[in-house]
Parts: sequence; structure tokens; C-alpha cells
Amino acid sequence: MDEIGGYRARLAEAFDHAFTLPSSNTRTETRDFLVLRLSGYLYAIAVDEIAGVQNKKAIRFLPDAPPHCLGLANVGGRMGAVYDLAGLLGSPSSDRMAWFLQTRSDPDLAFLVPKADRYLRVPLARILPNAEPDGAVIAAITEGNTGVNVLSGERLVSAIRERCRGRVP
Amino acid sequence: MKDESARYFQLEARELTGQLEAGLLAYEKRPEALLELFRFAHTLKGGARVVNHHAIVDLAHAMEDVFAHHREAGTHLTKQELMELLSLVDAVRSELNGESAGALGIASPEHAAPSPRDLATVRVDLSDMDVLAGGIHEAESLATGLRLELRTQGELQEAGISAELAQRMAEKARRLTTLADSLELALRRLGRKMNVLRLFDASLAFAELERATYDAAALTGKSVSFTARGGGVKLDGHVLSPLRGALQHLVRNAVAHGIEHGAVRTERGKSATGRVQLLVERRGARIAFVVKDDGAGIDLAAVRQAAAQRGLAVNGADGMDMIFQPGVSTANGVSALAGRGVGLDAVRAVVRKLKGTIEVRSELGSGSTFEIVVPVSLSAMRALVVGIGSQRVLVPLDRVVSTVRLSQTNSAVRSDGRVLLHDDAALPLHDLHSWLDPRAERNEPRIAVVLETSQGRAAFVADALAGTRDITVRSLPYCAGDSALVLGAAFDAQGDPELVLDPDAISASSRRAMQVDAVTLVKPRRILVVDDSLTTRMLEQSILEGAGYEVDLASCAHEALEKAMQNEYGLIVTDIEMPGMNGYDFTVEIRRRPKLRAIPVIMVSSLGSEESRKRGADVGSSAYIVKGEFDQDGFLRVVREWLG
Repeated sequence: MDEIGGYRARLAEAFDHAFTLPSSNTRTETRDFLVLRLSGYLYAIAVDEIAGVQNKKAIRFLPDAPPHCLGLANVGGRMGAVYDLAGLLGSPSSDRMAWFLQTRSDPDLAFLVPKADRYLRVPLARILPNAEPDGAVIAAITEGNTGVNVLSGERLVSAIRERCRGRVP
Repeated sequence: MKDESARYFQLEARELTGQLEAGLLAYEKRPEALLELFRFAHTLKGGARVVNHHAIVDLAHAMEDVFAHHREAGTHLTKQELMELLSLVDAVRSELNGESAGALGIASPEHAAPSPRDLATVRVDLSDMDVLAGGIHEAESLATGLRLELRTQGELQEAGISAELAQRMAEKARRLTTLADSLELALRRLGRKMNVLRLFDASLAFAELERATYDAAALTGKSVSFTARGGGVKLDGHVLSPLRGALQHLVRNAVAHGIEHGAVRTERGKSATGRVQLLVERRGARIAFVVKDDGAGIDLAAVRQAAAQRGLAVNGADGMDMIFQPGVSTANGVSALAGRGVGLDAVRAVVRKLKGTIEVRSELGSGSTFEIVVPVSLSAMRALVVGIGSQRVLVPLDRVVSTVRLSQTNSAVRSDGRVLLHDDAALPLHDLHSWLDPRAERNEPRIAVVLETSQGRAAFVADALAGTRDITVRSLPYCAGDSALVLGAAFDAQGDPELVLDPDAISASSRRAMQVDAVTLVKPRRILVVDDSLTTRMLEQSILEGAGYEVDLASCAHEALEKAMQNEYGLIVTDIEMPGMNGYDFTVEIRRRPKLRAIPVIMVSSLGSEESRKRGADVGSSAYIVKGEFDQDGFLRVVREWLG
């Protein structure tokens, strides 16, 4: 039997076997996150809030830019404003920043972030909303002894837009 | 189906009203057009009946009656009838505008579809064209990115893959690169074509200008002819659209203020019919609209008197510029056309917004000429690539008068900065270096770029010139804020952004800086002292207050920046070693911000090395005092040097 034939047989067997298992009534609702490590802290941003991720490109310095705005860059073919996510969260920036992350809330805005630490699928029950959201951090996920702050892309963008409203250099 | 009919009727009715209006305006020159006009009215009535638009049926019927009467009698339309017919055309337009979304069941008249009578052309909303053009430029930029990514595929060979696979991948990459190149080229061609499609023929404005002249003549009881030349000259719809209103104002003004009544003209040896002429001509990347009348000309003495009555100082060499001041009018009374003094200032505001210029020439008794010069497009343009420090910026080429290599014979340093001696004038040289590239080492400026702006000539210094390039200017994203001197940004050949400078803003900023200098020379000065040491703050405060200065204190650079942005200071005294932002970075921030960059900064620090002093000078400090050598008299002497 050739390689593909063997693969097909294994798939058919697994398919048939699935019918012999008891049905599960406990399907778990989950949410997917991209986890970023910024200055030693872990932050998660929901995948459904992300419009795109791409390798960092040249950033053009923009005089009179708002705080933490690093300048302009070609973000997926658009003229995008690039913000230092670490700076926005009150942490020092680092040269490990390698990606532009776009949120669905404003595709003309990209956050400069390090490469993702990992991809995380979390049952909703493990996401603990903040009773009083502090800035852009709206919830926490516990992973053993580690806590991961959940960021709201929408709140990050609206805070930046609020700062830019009527701003005169 | 009903919606479709209504939509087509909207398009057809708009075309027919345009043809009716043009035909009526030209009637006196072409009375044989009567049958054609009758046909237009008849077609309009038929269409309106199909969609049950009874108001338009009645209006078209009324027009038809007038045309039919003269057709049968073989007589001509009278002036009075022409006026009434034009009013009926206006009424049809009002119906079309007012009921288009209701009775006709149309969501938006602007979202047009092909006319059923002429499927060779389509009407497209300008904003839809903008979206399409933006999409093409975006795709072009993505194709550039793809090409660049493919060039780096060679790195894969170093990642340990087999030589055969690497060779195959290299071959694929070569083919893909060729395709990406072709795609980029095709998109670039498409972008250029799209830019051409977005251009409108200037003659689109002619009919309404003729109508404006006709209406104004009828209202004032004058006899005036209107002629236009330059149809075929094309410009961006975003430029032509606002300009139409400004031009209408100028022709109405020419009739109301310029052209004399027939009897007066005859007395003065002129033809009883006055003339208003419009000439449109292309001048490089700009277009000139020249509105000329053969009327009485502008009475400068009356303009000066009107300005004086409003308490305005006469400016400009001859005071002609005063006619653009709000509220200045020489009309004897207020009419529907003129006399409120709220026109030419609005015309100038429109022209300035379009990055254009307006000039007026007039000869008493002979007439006036207004010349508006605007760019062909606000987004597609040719730009001069300029190097300032390590940055490259773009300047609209049509605003560049010249570039000059600086030398001791053509530039001088005055107390208020460096100036360029150019065409018998001393132009202040705007230095953008610390604003654009605050951390780079500053070299002696080598080149001056002289600009034509809406406020006259201005100049800035540059380190290098790198040729010219066709660009498409994009607005800055909302979250980038407003950058004072930046018009927008464009992508370079590698797909990276480059800033496009705004010549008008550079000129205005230069003038503001000079005004600030002039004002601060006579104002009492406040000093901001920045030091994290309470003792030093108190010491410096007591010395300065003892010498009669007002003093504010800040314990860190961030607090100081906040205070400096909120208040007016004549001088800043700062420490260097402070927690958070140090004194060097603080000075860089001061030099970067337009509001603060003119404020002298004195550094007072315990760092006494030559290197520290040099770094202080490099970031833009005005003076450097070492704490170990600090003495009250020396400190005050330096302060007085900078504050007077």
C-alpha cells in the first residue's frame, strides 16, 4: 500500500471508531488568545479582536506625534500609525519588538509587539473579568501559578483615539 | 422595477435640466434652438409621467406651452420669458433634489447607474472613485511588499534545506518576482489612469458661471456678456468643486461692482454691453482661472476709506489686498448680490484651503482682473525629495521656487536667526532639523529651499536634495494626530512612508516664531526652573526672584513639559541628571515642539566634562553652567544674556 493509501485507511478507521464512542454533552465554550510577553508580564489579546499580524517594517518618525506613537509605517498596504504597546501599558520598550499587530477596531493603527509567546485556547470559565477594568486590562487568566492579563483591543484603540481628539501640536 | 425607473428618471431629468439651462442661456445667440428646447421639455414631461412625478409633469408642461407658442407663431422668446423658463428649470431641480429619496424611491441620487439612453458612459460618485484609487494604491504597495519579500527568500538556503529544494525554491521565487514586478507595474499604470479619470474638465463650471452672470445682470438691470476660454483643461474634482462657488462669486461681483450701467458705459465711450471673461489655462502642475471685466475698476481710495471705517490698517503696497478683508465693501447698499462685505474674504479662504493663490489687478475706468492659481490635484503631484539630517521628506514641487546652495554671500546670521538673501529680500530660514530629527547630530546647513506659499515666500534649510518623484499624498491616520507642518505622507519605492511637508504651514510657523520673538522682547519674562533637588530649586528660585524675575518650579522633566506647554516662559533652567527623562532628552523635547522650540534652555549640572558640555550643545541648549563653578553673579549674567 502506498503512503497516501495508508493515510486514507487510518483516517477511515478513526472516522468509524468515532461512532463507537459515547456522545459528549459537555462541550466546553472556549476563546482563543495570542499571548505576548512585555517586560516580563504576560498579556493576552483575543484572536477575534485581531485584524492582522505582520513582520515589523521601517517606521518613519513623525514629529509632534502623540505620546507612545512611534511614527508611520506601511501596515498591510495602508498608511498606519504605529504605537508602542509596552509604553502604553507603562512598561519600558525593548528591541525585541518584531511584529505589527492590527486590531479590528482600527486597521489604520498598529501596535509594535514582540513575537507571540504562545497561542492559548481557554475555557470561558477560566477567564476572570475585572470587576472594575483598569485601563485596557479587562480580565485575567490563571495558568497554574502564572496570571495572564487580558487586554481589550477596542479599549486600547478608543483610549488612543480619545487622546487624539482635537489634539493640536 | 419602479425603483429602477425612478433611478433612471433622476439621471435623465438631471441631464435634461442641464441641457435646458444651457440652451436657454445660449438662446439669444442661437434662437434656432427653440425646437430642441421644446423636445427637451417634452421628453422631461414624458419621463416624469412614467414615474408619476406630477409636479415635474406640470413644470415641464408649462415650459412646453411657452416653446409651443413661439414655435407655432414663428416668434422669439422674450427676455422675461427666458427668465421665467430658467426659474422653471430651477423648480424642476428643486423637485429632483427634494423628492429624490421619497416620491421617486431612490436612496441617493448620487449613486448613479448608466443612463438607459447612453450606455457608453457611467456617472460615478467622486468619493467612490477615491475609494477605488485608494484600493489601487494599497494593492500597489502590497505588490511592492511581495517583491521585496521574495528578494529575501535566499535566506532560506542558509536555514539548512537541501540544495535541490533550495534551487527549486529560488527558481519559483524568480518567477514570482517577475510576476510581482509585472503586477506592480500594471497597478502603477492603473493608478495613473485612475488619477486621470478623477480629473474634471474645467468647462463643467462654464454654464453655471454664465448663468450667474446672466442672473446678476438681470437683477441689476445691466447688459453683460460672458465668454469663457480654456475648456479642455482638466483638474481634480476636489479642487474644481469648491472653486466653482468662488468663481461664481467673482463673476457676480464683476457684474454688481464692476460693470457700469449701459448709459454710463456709453458716456465713457465703452460698448453698452459689459464683458466678463473667464480664461482657464494650465501652468505646469497648476491651473490659473482668470476672471476679467471691462467695468469701472476698483476705487482704491474708497477701499481704504471702507477699511479705515472698520478700524483696519491698510496693508500691501497699494492697499488692494484690503478688498479680501472681512467686512470691507465699497458697495453703496446691500443687495441680493453684494454689499455685505462677506465675499472676497470667503473666496480667498477657499483658495487658501486649496493651497492656491489669488491676485487682483485693477485700473480705474478700465476694469479688474482676478487671477486664481490652484494645483491640478490635491493628492497626485510631483514632489522634491529633500534630506534633512537622517530623514527624507517630500515637498510639493509646484511650490518650490528655487533651491540655493548657502554661502557667505547669500546668507547671514541675525539676532533672530539665519536669513537667506533672495531676490532682493531677506527670507528667514526655517530650520526643521531639530523638529524632524531631534537626535541626529546637526551639521552646518548647506542648501536653502525657497517656497511660494499663500502668505508669500518662505525658505527652509536642507542637507541634501535627492531628485523629484511622482507621489500620491495620503492623509495621516487619525491616531497619528496632527503634525503641525505635515500635509500627509506618501509611500516610497520600497513601500515605506515619507512625510510630505506643507509649504503654507512652514511659512505660517516661520512667521509665528518671528512674532513670538518680537513679542517676547517686550514682555516680562517668566523662568521655569527644573531640578529634582529641592535645595537647588529653592536656591535658583531665590536668586532669580531676587533679580526681579517671575519663577515657576518643576521637579522633573515631565512636569516641566506640562507646565511649559500650558504657560509662556522666556527661559528654562534645567538640571541634567534627573529621574525619568534626563535634561538632554528634555531639551530635545523642547526643541522638537513648535510652541517651545524658541525658548532658550540653560543647563545647570554637576557634570563638568567637555563631553557633557558638547552633548548639551548638540541637543540644543543655549548655555551650560557647571554646578561646581556656580556663582550667583555668573548665573544672572547668563540669564540676562538670554532674557535681556
